[in-house]
Amino acid sequence: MTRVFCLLGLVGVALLGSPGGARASDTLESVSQQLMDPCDHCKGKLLAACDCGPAADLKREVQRMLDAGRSEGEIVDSMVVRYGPWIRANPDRSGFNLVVHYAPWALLAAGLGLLVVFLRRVVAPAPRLAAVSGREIAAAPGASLHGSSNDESYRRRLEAELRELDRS
Amino acid sequence: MIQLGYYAVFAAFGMAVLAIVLGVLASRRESDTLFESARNAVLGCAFFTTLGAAGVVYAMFAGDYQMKYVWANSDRAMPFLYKLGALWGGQSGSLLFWSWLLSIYSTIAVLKHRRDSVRLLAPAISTLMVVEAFFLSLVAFASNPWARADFIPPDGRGLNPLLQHPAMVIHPPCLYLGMVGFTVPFAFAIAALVSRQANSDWLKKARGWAIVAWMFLAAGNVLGGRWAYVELGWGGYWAWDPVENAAFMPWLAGTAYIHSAMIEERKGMLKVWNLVLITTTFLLTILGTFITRSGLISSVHSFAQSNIGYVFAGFLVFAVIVSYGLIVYRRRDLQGPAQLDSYFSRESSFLFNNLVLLGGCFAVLWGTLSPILSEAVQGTRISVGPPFFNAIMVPIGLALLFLMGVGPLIPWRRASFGSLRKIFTVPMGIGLLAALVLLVGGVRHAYAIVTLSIAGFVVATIVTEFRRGIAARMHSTGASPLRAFRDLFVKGQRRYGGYIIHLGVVIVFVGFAGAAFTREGEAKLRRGESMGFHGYTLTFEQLDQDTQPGVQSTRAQVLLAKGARNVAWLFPQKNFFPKMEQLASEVAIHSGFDADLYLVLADYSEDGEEASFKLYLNPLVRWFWVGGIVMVAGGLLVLLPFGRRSIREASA
Repeated sequence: MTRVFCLLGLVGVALLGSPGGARASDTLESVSQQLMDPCDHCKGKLLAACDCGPAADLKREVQRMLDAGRSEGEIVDSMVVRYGPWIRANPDRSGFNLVVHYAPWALLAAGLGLLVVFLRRVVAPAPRLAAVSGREIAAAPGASLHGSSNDESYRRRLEAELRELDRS
Repeated sequence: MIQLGYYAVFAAFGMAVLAIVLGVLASRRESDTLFESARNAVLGCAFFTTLGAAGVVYAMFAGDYQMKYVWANSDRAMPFLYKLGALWGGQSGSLLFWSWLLSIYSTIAVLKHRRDSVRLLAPAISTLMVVEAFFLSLVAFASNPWARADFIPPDGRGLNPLLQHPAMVIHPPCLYLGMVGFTVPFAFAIAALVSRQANSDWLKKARGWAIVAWMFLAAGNVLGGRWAYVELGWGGYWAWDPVENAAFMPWLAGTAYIHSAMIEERKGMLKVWNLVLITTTFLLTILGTFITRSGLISSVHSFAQSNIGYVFAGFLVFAVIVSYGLIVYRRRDLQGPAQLDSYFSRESSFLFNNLVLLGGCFAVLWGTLSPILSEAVQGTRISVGPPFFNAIMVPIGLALLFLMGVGPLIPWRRASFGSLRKIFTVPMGIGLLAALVLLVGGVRHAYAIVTLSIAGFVVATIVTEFRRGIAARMHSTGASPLRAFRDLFVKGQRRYGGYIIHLGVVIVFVGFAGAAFTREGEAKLRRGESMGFHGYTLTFEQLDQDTQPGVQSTRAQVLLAKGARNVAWLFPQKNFFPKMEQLASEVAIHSGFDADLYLVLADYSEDGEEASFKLYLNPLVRWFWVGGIVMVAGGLLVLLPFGRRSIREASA
């Protein structure tokens, strides 16, 4: 059951990972989310997040280009020609930038692989113990008196865990 | 008094070095006398560092503007709190402040653990003091706040106007308390390695310290967001700026550590992993300061840059080699049992949490360093901005949020499928119901729906845990529900306090989800003219000019109406600071739990007849701050000693 939920969750997350959502494209807002501020004083800020003089000029120009019917991609490209690759808020997917984009995902995947290998190695259910606790749950004393056996075993487990916490 | 501080810093440095040596000797000979001396040297170091910091603060109040640092960060007209805040307003002062906090932390640590064994404590003292000596040496030799000009300026230049905000007085101390605080658990880890006591003793000692540091770091980050929101005037609170990232990375790694430490406490496994995690967290705090201070990576927050970058880089390399090297060197001592009972256990959910947190931490680090790497590798300058971080961190955040709901419900050791289904049905149902309600309500933004739906799920799991805990307490003690609820925080302080922290994180995520619906607009209005903006009406009434010493402000009066009802007067300002030739906006915010209306005065005509505004509608922003407060409250519930007292009372 949980496995299904986990899978669903992961798939959902993966699907969402691809650029999506209901964002309008070809607007001043969407373009200025993809460009950095050109002025030296506000280095490192997103164009959308800056209102300094040069930023305002660039936004006006982007608006003119949009009005002239040019697409988001064309505008960003023309800005790259003018300023250089750093004007992109998100590096393009070519050359070394591919490494920039995918290294975190690769590391996550590698980590996931390692974790699975680790879990496979260390997970060894002690059969005897399992049987005992199973029987315990089934034959929990007073289970029939105080709600379901599940609640009873939870209660005892909680008590034990809280005792353990107090001890440390 | 002022010069006294100057000499005190050298004395403090000497004391730190003395404490290092005495600590090493004490641990070698296991001598209590030497240990006591080392402890006294720590106290001495704290005393002199305090004197040093007091010297700079005194100079601020006395107005000794011949001192370059005082001149650059304060002036006569500044109010009391900002003069105090000027201590950490620039580089050398903030290094001194860092040293001071570390000396205070060290003092509390040695006093608190004074009855513990020399073998662990003595090397811990040495470790703390190595870090302390490094920061003090920067203050004393590389970036000295007592440097003097050869003339006496009549007044100071004043603190950067952007920093003149109440949040700026609390935000840096909080952040620093968090960053510096992780030195203490790190010191215990190193001490455990050095003294070959790799049992979980160090972990228990380090626990409280790690949570203190974590809590301050969380509060510091949220306050930083608050400051950016009200002061920077671009409508948001988080921009994935390198300096923000610098403070965020140790928080992620520290969170991973706090969770995985629980596995070691219970099962004695993951010894190496926990040492690596706390070491990494500490190194990230140093890396963070390095990034902030070196000016290596351009950032809007780099108010304090200089050439101490190399020294920092050197220390960082030294710390990396020594600490990781020590773990490798002692690997034989660190073998522990490696056994889990089931894939479906709290333990394994914590391991997934570690994976996601560290994956996120790496992504932030990678994104922050990529511009430098790119210059080095391909010789082109690139920018890595919010779109890059959001593409990775949003899914990671959601995975984390999901795990936060799953983890606490899965029991330690093992869970059976039957019980899991039983536990998860209701919370899952609530999560799906939330998604359905949003869809029916017309929300179409995928991320927002997923976030809020998982948030609903997690809140349901937390409520379930409390409900079951209360029921169990009532059953076993016969207490009233309220009493049982209170008992949970006393008996299960860490566990239930932890859930409150989780609740805070969920609330923070609700705030994040709101960001999907941000709307912005611009308007140029003549006096008396109105405009509509997403259900609001704004009327520009008039423009006032005001000249105070040190600042000329222009203030617009705008009447805000929602529907037909007038809600508030908004007064966005533009301030000009002639001394620093700097313009700064003072935004006006009308805040609510549903949304903030955020108004910036962008421009105005000389005659005051016309003004342009920038407007943002920021849904759910307030939840971000509220979540931060809840997180801190949860942290306090974990840390405050009321539980211990009542247990003592009970046993007395």
